[in-house]
Amino acid sequence: MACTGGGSNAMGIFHPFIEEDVDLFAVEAGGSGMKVTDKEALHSATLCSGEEGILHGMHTKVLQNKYGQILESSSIAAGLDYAGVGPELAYLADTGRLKPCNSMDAEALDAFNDLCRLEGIIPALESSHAVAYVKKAASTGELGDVVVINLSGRGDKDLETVMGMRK
Amino acid sequence: MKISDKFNELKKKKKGALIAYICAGDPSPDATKEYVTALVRGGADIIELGLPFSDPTADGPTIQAGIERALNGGMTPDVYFRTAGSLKVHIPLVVMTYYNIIFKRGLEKFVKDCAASGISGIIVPDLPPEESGELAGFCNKNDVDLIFLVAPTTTDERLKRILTEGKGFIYLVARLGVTGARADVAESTRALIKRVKTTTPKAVGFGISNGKQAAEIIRSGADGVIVGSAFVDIIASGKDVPARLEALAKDLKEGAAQG
Repeated sequence: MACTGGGSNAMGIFHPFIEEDVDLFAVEAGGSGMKVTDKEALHSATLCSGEEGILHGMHTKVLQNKYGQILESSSIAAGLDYAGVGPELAYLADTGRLKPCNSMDAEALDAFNDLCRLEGIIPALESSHAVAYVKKAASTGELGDVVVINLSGRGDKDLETVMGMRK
Repeated sequence: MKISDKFNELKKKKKGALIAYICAGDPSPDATKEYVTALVRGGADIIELGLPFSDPTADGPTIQAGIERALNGGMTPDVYFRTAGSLKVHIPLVVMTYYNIIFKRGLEKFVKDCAASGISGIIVPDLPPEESGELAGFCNKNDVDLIFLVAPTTTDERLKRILTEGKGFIYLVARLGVTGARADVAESTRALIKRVKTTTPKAVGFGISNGKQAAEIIRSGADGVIVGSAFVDIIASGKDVPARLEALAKDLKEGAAQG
């Protein structure tokens, strides 16, 4: 279970498990909703809703409009706020090897608070998306007995954002 | 008009070419028609008409702003080809855009649209030659030139390939970084012009903004200069645009012609 923007931490943790009998979840940023206009997306969920394109030298999935203009993506987590995704992840999603899913801004914030309160660990807002998805998926039965969350970053850097949201 | 015909014509007169870039639709499609006419009056030999892309990674702040104005003004690939097709100019037109715009439209359709609207060359700064085979195939079939860029950092191996496959002219990137007007001509520019040995015309872009620089570039052995940001700056000012575009084109053309 790993948060996925461009997907570097996700691909890092998935890589040793690709050939193993392990479910892989790429948790993208659902932002404030899956709505998309001609210019912007309220989310950054490229694996979930992007289309084939070319961005920054990669042939991958891209958030774009019908003319190929790149959409302005959105997320509470700056590290997930990207209109593209690593091509290896796009491939694994297309072949069905990994499951693309997403957590909304508000869900990530809740998960951030939970982990701070219950474990004394401040997760990065990016990683909080993965924690949030585990919370949701725990009740739907799609998870096995052992779940690994890649807590890819610490949230000290995000305290200002989170405190600001609380006011 | 074919790009090679234009360069041959200039070669006979021993004159350097002025390739003038503006972004189509900046700030409106109608303005583009007027501005292209002004550039041609000023002496532009080839018009490089940008097809705006939201993430122009090779362009500096000046052209980025022009692209934004164009997108806000409603420029799309459909409008672009209509606009290009309606230009009444008798010099070559070249499209400069990024690969996702071409990919999304469909490679073959894009090239056919170029041919149908009088565009004789395509520049794609984010398409490496190693990945260009498919587009080059459609270009060859439709008699459209696929123009490649060479930078000071281009390796010898890649340069060899570009010189073999490049059509129209070779676009020499004068300096590292993005587009934008500069005051001087870098030593590395002269070195690059010397390094690129080919019978295909060589045109130098990135940073050229006046006739003096243009003359210096041509004297150093280039066949043409490409100027964009200096024109786009004039468009951005919104003041007396056609007359000033024409005057700058004239200055650059005089420099290129005497160089």
